[in-house]
Amino acid sequence: MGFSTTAAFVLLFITGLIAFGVLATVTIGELKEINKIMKIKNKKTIELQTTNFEIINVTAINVTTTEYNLTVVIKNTGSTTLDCVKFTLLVDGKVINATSNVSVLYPLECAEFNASYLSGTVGSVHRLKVVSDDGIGKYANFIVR
Amino acid sequence: MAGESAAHMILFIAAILIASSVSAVMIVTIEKMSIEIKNQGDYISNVLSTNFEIVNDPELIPNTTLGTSKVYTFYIKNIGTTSFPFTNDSLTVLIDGVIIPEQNITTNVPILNPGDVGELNVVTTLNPGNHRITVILYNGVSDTFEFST
Repeated sequence: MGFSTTAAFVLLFITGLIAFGVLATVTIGELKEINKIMKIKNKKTIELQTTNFEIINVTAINVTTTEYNLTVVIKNTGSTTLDCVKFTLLVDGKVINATSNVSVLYPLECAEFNASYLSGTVGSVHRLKVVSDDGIGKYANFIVR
Repeated sequence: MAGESAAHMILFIAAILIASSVSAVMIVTIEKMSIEIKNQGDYISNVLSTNFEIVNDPELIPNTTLGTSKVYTFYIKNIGTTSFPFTNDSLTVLIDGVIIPEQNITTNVPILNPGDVGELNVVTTLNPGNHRITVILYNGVSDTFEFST
């Protein structure tokens, strides 16, 4: 009787240890993953708070009677480096294809975005929205010259 | 003496069998718990790393006429750190609190990668004035945007 009880308890103890080990491994692994993502999210939140930019200048020069070329100069007035490739430009509510002269925009530096052959006649007024990679948007109006 | 040994043997086998059964149940339960913990962890990780924003100009929503309705284009920018499916069956769109049927929604890309902007075209009829659109992703992450037509 004594040996039987001991053997049964040993078996249960070993199973319990294995079960605890499995549970602990999975839980710790998942907590590590969540912790890693929380750190990235916190970093992004801090970046968002320190991100700011200004539209310094907008130039729209007509190239044909109904089309113009647009040049937008943006200054990074925050303390976070911005990814110019991920900027989005909207003219009159529509996303346009624009290229920048730099790929990253360091604090206090300026970047120039160019878009060609947009629809608009001389003297027409348009509305520009620039959205940064983390979703911050700035607006400006401009006239085609 | 032989009878006592046999009784001990039977008790021993019975004890081992019961302990083994309990262990098997415990292992199966723990395995299920592990899978559930992993699924929940993956879900939380996914939700935390997903983020997007509707980046339209609220006063100028691009639209085209389609019969008696209009097709409104909304720009969705992935500002998170992970890609997410961007199809009509993975998105839920509400305009002024009313769900837009799946067949009235189209997108230009099936997956939206971080930093990318996708087009969400919604066929609906809106009266002139202020409106509110809510886009909900497959994992429940949502964004609301107020605009005027």
